[in-house]
Amino acid sequence: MIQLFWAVGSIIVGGVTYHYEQKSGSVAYRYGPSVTLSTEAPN
Amino acid sequence: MDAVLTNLKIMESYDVFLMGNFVALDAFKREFGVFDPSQPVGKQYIIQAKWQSALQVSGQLGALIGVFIAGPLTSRIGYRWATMTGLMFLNAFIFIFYFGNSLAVFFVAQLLEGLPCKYHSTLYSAASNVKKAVHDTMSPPPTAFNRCSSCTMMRLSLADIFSEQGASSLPMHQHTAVRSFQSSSELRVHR
Repeated sequence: MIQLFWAVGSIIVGGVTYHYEQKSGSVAYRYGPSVTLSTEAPN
Repeated sequence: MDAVLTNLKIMESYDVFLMGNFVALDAFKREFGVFDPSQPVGKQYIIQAKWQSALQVSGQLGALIGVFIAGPLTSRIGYRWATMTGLMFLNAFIFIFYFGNSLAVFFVAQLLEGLPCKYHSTLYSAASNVKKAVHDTMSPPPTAFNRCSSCTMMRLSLADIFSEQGASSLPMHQHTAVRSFQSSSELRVHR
């Protein structure tokens, strides 16, 4: 039973992360104001 | 109460796998990774291997400490209060994780989360074992349903954790079975 609920939890977290993956900025991993970050090299 | 505690297991799993998903997330890598010009364009921010493995093991490391706290604490204050204190501490540690702004803070937060997290797993098994010992000693020959050990463990243990009376409400012979189990596993017996 415990393994079953562990599997359910890992599926939920995978789904949630996959949904927020497309968002840019810290909203992808933490709820909050979305900040646009560049992929350029740092100055 | 069973349903509440199974939700606890679901969210524990959520917590365990969350960081593994984060290290693969583009936005997370851009915020917390280092710049590596040898990588293909667009994938030049990477989380260093040392941080990836550190973040993966920090929860387990906290768990290792947590299982040693679980036994003595449960003997002292009982399953009911041990579970509730653990949950309250877990709330506080998840706040640290949420508001953390560096990989080191995530590491420490996960380490702290591991304490009550695995501590609950231990509590679960300990409660199951005590109840199973009582059950094996006292009950009539098992029916088909009782023979499934995981069914028996879930059915017997979970509600009992939150029962007001605890082990003292058991009849004398059952109470003795609980005591002998506890002393055999070197736990301090209070009642």
